[in-house]
Amino acid sequence: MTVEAVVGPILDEATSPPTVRSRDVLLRLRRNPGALVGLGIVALVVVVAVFAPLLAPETPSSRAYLDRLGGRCCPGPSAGHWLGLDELGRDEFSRIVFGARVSLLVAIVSVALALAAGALLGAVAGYFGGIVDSVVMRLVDIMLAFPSFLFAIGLVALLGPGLWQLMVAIGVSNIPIFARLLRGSMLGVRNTTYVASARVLGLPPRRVLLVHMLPNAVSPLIVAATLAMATAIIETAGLGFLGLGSNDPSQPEWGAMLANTTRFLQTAPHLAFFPGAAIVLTVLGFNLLGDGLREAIDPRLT
Amino acid sequence: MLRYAARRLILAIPVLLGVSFLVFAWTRALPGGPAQALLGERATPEAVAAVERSYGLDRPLFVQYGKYLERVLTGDLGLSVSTQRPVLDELRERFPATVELSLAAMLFAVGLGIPLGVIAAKHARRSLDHVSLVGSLVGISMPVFFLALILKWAFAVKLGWLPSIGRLDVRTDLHRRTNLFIVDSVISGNGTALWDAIRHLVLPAIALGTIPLAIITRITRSAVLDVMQEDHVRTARAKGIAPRLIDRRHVLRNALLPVVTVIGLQTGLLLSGAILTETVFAWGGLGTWVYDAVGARDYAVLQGGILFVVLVFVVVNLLVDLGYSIIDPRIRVG
Repeated sequence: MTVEAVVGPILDEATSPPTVRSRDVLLRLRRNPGALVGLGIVALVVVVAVFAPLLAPETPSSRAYLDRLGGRCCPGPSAGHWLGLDELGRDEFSRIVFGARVSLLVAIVSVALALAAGALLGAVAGYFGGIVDSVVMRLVDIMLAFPSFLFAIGLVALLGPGLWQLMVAIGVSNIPIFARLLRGSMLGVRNTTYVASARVLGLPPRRVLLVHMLPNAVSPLIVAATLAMATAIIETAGLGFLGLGSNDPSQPEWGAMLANTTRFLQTAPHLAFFPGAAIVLTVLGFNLLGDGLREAIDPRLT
Repeated sequence: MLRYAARRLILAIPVLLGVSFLVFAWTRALPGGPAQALLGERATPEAVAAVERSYGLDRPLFVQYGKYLERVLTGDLGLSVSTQRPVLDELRERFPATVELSLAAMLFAVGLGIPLGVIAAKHARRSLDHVSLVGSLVGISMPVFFLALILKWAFAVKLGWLPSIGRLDVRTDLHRRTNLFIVDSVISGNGTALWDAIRHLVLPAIALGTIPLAIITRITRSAVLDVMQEDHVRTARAKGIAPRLIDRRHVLRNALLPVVTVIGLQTGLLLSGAILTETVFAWGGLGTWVYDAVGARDYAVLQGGILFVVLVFVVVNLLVDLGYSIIDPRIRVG
């Protein structure tokens, strides 16, 4: 057994600063009505997405009611079809319900990708500093020189249409946010006494990075990730609206649904309203939750 | 000041070089490649090879990049495949349209956002403040294209008050010099065209300006609240200076610092939002241009258009930084 294996855990305990206690954070979160509303909305969307096949009366691609249209577009809400039918005789409610799956899935995967890659880049830059930091940050600067939505459009054009391509495009275009954020907090943590002591005591760099620095730099990342979910959902819808999303009819996407209805704005405005409202509600939920988390993690801000 | 400006300018050069290389490599990596795009999908391999030779596409990538950079620096952005016109000429028509739309959107956002933010701060934690908070939250959560559709449906389709697409009625005559239609109609003293251009501008500008409006309102509110609690404001109050004068000289002036930065940071958001807003309102700017180019695989337009958008973005950010260092001299030292 090496000295490090024996002393390491003790040193970790002794040299760690008082971290943000998760119990306190939860307590503050529970007292914040906005955050609770946000959490409720997010929970609702997650439930709808997970249980979509049980909640939706039809499959999203079924044109079972095409003959019901009678050449007109499109019947509004009724007892049989809560949100009406779309231009191909598909049940709008079912498509909205399944749309939650697409939006959430794309947002979760793309934010996870951006978070993982961005955090790695930021941590490396912030930990090593010097030339590594300069190189990584210049790369990030180049990416930031593109408006992120334009960057995503470019990537989709490169990768072709489809859900996976959408996830990669949105994920990659959001890497700089996380890279900058984590680098900033790592730089802040790097010069604290407890990190200096951990170094002086001869702990290996990897341990200092993972055990002493990362946990203390991570809470702004949680907030940023929640808010990035909101942005990712808007960007997914935006790319879908431009016709750059998936063109598989069994994967209805809110933005693409909205784009298809622009032709029927005169006769069937409800077709534009429902997918739009679904986007606004979901994004609002993540924004409220993100703001609430930020206030709960760092109460000085309020 | 000059030294700071020079340093910032020099720092922008590697970023621009990196960007140009990225855009260059991107067009080379697009499926089909430029030669294929030029000849269409049914081109024979021999024809593709011939075009690649004549355009130097068979040379090593860095040689191509050098040539490309040389051409870009002399202002040659190539020909658009779909219109067969120089990309630069199209850019001259399209860019002013987006500038006009973005400026109008910013005017709407700043003109309404700063007063709203001040009012919200003055009524902090009372009902008016809550209303503005909820309003700005919904504003931030609203996708720009959905808002655009709602506005178009309500004011163009249902009420018929305002036109739903384009920048000018087809019957309106206007001598185009700057392609900023408002400026053009003022220069030529054409009142009908001015009124028509403004009417076309209202809905897209509101749609594009709403998210910045929400952000500016919130930032102004918190900045005013912060400054109102500072010592120098308390001192001013203790000296018996009139409240209105304190607001103007001591509070607003300092509170506007973060607001100015945020306004600058909205440029990227505006450029991204313009793509979607322009699509909804068939506004002939950079957004619809790039969007159509993606659909038509018009590589010259994509390469030139995106490079230009990024250049604008970098320059605006640079100007914001410089402007900020004029307002707040402490920045120059840091």
